[in-house]
Amino acid sequence: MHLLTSNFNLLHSNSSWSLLKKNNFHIDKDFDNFFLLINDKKVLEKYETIHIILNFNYSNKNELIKKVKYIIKNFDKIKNIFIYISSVFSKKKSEKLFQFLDKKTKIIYFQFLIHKEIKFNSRNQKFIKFPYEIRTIELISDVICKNIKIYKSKPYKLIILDCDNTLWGGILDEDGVKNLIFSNNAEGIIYKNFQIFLKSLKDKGFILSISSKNNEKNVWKAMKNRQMILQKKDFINPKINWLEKDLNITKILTNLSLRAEDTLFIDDNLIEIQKVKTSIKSINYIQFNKKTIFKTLNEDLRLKKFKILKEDKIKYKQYQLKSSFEDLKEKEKNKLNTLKFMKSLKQKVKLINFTKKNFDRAFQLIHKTNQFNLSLNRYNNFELKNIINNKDFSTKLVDFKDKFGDHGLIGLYIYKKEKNSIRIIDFLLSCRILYRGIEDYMIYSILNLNVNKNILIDYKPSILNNKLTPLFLKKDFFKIYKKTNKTKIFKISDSKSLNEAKKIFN
Amino acid sequence: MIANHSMKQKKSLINNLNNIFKKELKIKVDLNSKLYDFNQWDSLGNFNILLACEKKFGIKFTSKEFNNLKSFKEISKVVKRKL
Repeated sequence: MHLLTSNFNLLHSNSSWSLLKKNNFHIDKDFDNFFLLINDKKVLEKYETIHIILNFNYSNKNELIKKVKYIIKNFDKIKNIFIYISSVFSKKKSEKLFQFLDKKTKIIYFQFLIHKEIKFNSRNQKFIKFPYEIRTIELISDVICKNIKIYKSKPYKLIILDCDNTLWGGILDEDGVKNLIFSNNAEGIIYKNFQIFLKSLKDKGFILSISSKNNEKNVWKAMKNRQMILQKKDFINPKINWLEKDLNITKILTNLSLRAEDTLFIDDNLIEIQKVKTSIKSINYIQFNKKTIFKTLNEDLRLKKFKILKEDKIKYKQYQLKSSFEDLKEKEKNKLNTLKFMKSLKQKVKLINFTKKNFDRAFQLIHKTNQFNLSLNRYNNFELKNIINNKDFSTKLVDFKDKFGDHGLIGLYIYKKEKNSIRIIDFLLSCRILYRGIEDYMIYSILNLNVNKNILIDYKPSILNNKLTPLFLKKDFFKIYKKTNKTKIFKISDSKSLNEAKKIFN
Repeated sequence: MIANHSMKQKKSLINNLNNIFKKELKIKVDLNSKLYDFNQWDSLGNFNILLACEKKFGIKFTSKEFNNLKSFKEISKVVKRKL
């Protein structure tokens, strides 16, 4: 359920709200009720998203600004609040009035309803405390529905870019660094703006990489000498060589443990795109066209993100860590998986309790982890809080560091305590640090905490988790215990490989 | 002929109004129905009806009309005049 509330009368029973009602919206019945509602914890838990329309006028502006500031201060950590602002003031005055919203808030999403489109109606304001023409309801509904669509769409994780005629105009190998089209005017500004856009995506946690048929040194030189927005450091695992792009892209995906479904490939050359698409079927692509590129980008909901968590921001660093690990792995192929090699990584795992501070990250892991997520239970806010507060459940987050740096919170488990047994209902780990012994160590520590108990773990196979997870379940400490329609339950017992996992971390 | 035509118009207006009441308030009204005859037809319900009329027929009520039209007959009379 979603909630719509406001600082005026929403005419909750008006049939113009039918679009939102069809989309599972509750329209607030009470006038000017948003501030009371948002201060009610039960309300915050009950709804998946909360939308507030605020209309500013001469008599309410000071009080409303105070309330908005209060909301930003107190609710910035609570997800899923959307605030829509309309004002009777001129555009200039509005901009000044709402200056304080800039950059102050990360989680609450603000949107200005456009002056030209919102039609005020003084009669409706006077008699029914509804400030607009009735048609405005449909406009607002469209805006809100679009936001819900974006909210529900899964953002891409990785964007792989071509260089020539995509990141810049012209062909580096033929035209030379000096003649590339990249500037503040004419055609050059298209490429500059495209790079600015990509940089903003990077700041939101999207990973940028390159697949380009070029000379690698020259590409970095071009970026540096032409003072481009994007530089070498902005890309992770770039593959700049004369190999076929599908090979390079497959390599990037393996190195970063990302799926083609979550990847966007941007190239100007349709033949290259088709070749890649033939061998990597589920990859998404955009053909770069300098006339339509911004329209295309703007329409792609998977390039939009409302909430940017701290983890999103450091994600770049984490993928960099992963990338360095893959490089090392390639160099030391023979020593791989030996205790000595593992020890040399100086890995440290800490199991920590769920707290208010890390709740958002736990929620994100539960909703975003696919490949190595045994049950794929997607708890909503409320359900997850219930589990955390229920003493019958044990919940831990996994914090991981190694010699390359701090990976942050990368996994979690939840188990239910029963009389003589425990049942692990959730077990997940970000797949970019899989095969480092962490998954085994997590099992080991559960075992260690529950000596003499029957330990069971749920696996619910689906297309999202049927590749890596079954390999894990073949390890010698698992034994199939029971099969039901949707769930396979495994019994866990101590084994040789569990003891090895212990050694890596001790 | 003319009389017949205006009869038809009147009938379709009443049909349209009936549909508006059905859609906005989920009630079945007749020519004599008025505000507060039904639980749903309260003052907010009344405004919703008037707003729906404006949308449906592409007309505008003045402030005075907006505040004073409170029965099926009054509404249909003013709507008819404005068409």
